[in-house]
Amino acid sequence: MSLGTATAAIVASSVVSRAASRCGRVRIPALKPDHGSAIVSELSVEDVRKLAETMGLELDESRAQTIASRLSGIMEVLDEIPDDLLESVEPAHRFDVGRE
Amino acid sequence: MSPQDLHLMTVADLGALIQSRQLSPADLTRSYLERIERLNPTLGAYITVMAETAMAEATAAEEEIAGGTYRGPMHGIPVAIKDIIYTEGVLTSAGSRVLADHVPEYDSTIVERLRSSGAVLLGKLNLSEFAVGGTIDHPYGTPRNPWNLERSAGGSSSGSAVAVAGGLCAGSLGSDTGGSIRGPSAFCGTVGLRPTYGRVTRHGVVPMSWSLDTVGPMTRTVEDCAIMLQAIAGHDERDSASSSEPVPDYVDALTERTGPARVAIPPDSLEYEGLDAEVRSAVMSAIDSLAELGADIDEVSLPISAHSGAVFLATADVDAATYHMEWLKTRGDLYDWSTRTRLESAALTPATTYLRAQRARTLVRNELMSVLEDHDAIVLPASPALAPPIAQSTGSPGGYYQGRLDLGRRQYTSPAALAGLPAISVPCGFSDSGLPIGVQIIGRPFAEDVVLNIAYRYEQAAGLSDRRAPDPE
Repeated sequence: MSLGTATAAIVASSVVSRAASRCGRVRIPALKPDHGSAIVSELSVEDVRKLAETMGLELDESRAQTIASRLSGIMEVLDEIPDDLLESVEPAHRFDVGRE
Repeated sequence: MSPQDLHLMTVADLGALIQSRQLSPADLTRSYLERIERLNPTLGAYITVMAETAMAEATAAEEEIAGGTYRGPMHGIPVAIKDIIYTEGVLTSAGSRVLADHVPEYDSTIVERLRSSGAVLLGKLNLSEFAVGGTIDHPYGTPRNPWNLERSAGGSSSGSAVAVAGGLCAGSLGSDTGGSIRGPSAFCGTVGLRPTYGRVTRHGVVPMSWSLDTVGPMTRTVEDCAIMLQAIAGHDERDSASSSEPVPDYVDALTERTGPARVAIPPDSLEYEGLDAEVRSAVMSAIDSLAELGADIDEVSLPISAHSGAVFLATADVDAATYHMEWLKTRGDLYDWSTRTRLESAALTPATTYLRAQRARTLVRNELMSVLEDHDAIVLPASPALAPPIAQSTGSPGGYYQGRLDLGRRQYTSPAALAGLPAISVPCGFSDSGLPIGVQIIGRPFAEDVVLNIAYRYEQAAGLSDRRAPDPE
């Protein structure tokens, strides 16, 4: 299923707004930063190697390639979620275990 | 039922026989220990068998019951637990060479509660390394699916599912961070419940993700699941995430509600290309059965949840990587290839990606809670696929990551985990090749009683709970 269609986005938006309203969450005004320079959406094998070295992790070629592919895949899927929806909520930093 | 068939019986039935003193807990425990000795080398369910202490506990239970003290339906019942749950003086390996010498100095709260219920602890069960899933090389033996020994038992609570399905314990405990109870339950034909986050204490459990980890029962029937949950649920001041929500009577709840359930199904999710045709058919039949039982079935859309696999990995794995970071640097060679690679991948996740996932997690939670405002449950497959061949499920290191398919197939178990909701997997059929299939029922926070009630009503109608895997030859 793709979120690329307007219909899907409208459905998702209405669901989210309804839930956000019920849960008493503050709707954060959408900021429009220049995501192009701030958000990493893909990592090359070389990027992975450099990051790993900085972190003190020793990667062989096989793991470096798998990690680059894996991380880029995760970022790709996360990027499919519309920014306006994401910007309408706060990150789940703290998890409420109570009933809603 | 002959003594040779005790392993086929449910916790509820065994408990009734023990309470009426028609069955000796010591005889029952001895029977299970004999089966473990004979079958575990093939099935790979146990890492540690606690034969001596189990017999001592069973004898004590027998004496106590004979003396007129019956603690309840777990008294004298032989159970086993996933090897991430701390046991004083007993190896708790987390299925890893990294913790090959890890012997805790205290019991987890869960073990304390099991002992308090009178249960007999048979041993510690195999799992995917550190409950992460996808282990290629199991250091303590490969868990094998009792329905077909060449098939995977799933992960990460593989041993917990194998032990129940293979008749090597009456019930078990697994853990579910993103599907690790529900997936193996679906593959092995057991009932498995992921409780609400905070419902069951995590004190003394090796963590994977602080905000997602849950411990829950894996059993042969829904009633057994209710009995085991009753024994372990409730507030624990030693777990910062433990809830003080009152614990209802889960067994009473099985039959208390008789009115029509309001059930939501997401048709788009059932059209996912990675969903096996036989799984889809069995789940659709289960939905039809629920309708025949009087449930009101509504179609809903879960567009954000379809992306929850990526949200889950960017959340849970980063938590796990944080916990493992020092070991990755100093003892990396001790990890299984896939565990190590997955954790290292998470360790390199950019902070912006992590926070994007946290926002998406809020959306997933809101999406499910919105649906559950008008419904008692959401029904989904417990796994999109049948148990794969072991060779395929482990594969070569180079073939470990399968891109979007790897993320897409998590869309059924990740949503409830990310939202902290209770979810149960119940057998709903078998493939033409004889492999079990599970249907998943997701409920509101702390509504395990409702989830169990719907699952119980379905189970009674489906009539599948008497089927048992054959013993290996």
